[in-house]
Amino acid sequence: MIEFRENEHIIFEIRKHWFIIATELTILTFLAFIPLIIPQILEATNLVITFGNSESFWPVFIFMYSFYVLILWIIGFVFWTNYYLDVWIVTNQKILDIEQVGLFSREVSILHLERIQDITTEVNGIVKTLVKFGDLHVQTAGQQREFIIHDVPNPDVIAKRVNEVLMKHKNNPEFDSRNL
Amino acid sequence: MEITESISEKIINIPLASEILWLMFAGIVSFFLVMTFIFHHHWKYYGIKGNSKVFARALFWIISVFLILLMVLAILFFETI
Repeated sequence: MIEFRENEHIIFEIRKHWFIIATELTILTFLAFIPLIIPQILEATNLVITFGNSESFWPVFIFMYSFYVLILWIIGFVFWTNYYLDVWIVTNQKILDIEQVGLFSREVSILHLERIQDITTEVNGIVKTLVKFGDLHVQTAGQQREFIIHDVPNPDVIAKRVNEVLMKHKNNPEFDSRNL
Repeated sequence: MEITESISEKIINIPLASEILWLMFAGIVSFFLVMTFIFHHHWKYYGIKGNSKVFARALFWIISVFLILLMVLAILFFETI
């Protein structure tokens, strides 16, 4: 559980672009449909597979297919959980970089606003340019000098918003984030 | 495995006992229960809240239970023929 100070408020959260999770889920959906062509292939090649009885093909096929789809379904939720838990939280005092890698690796870094020195964005490639997502780099004065959030939607807009928060914080470290 | 060939079609008979299907079923249900526990832990403690959590939980359970029931019905049907 993430805990915040008494006078600390969440201003906004940054997650990866929906295109990332959509791509992963589309691949899984495609994989889910592949076994459905097996009966057609068997019919086309005049091949009959039985499991001890001439009518046993369909129950075994349905069992195997459900088994396979359940595995894909669980993998889909692993992807979604990773996507949802991999987040940057911008508050009026700090930026929390929560990096979820798989289900059992989680790294939480705190970037205090006063230590942030520079914010840059990077959009590489045709897909990223068309769908409008890219990387956001935040340089800090700390030991780990650069933090990167990959594949954020509209990185320029987000960089502008983070900059706005930084400026407000610079002018008044106890600023009221509800004005943003 | 027994392969029989007639003029029009080739028949491949794979002897399969329902116990093997039940064993596979037990394996996948165990895996499902472990993953369900992990998901619920992550959703609860790492901050998935509100509608997303309710929707994710409901969707996960409805589809999973449907697939598990389909597997049970398929094995029961396999046993009766």
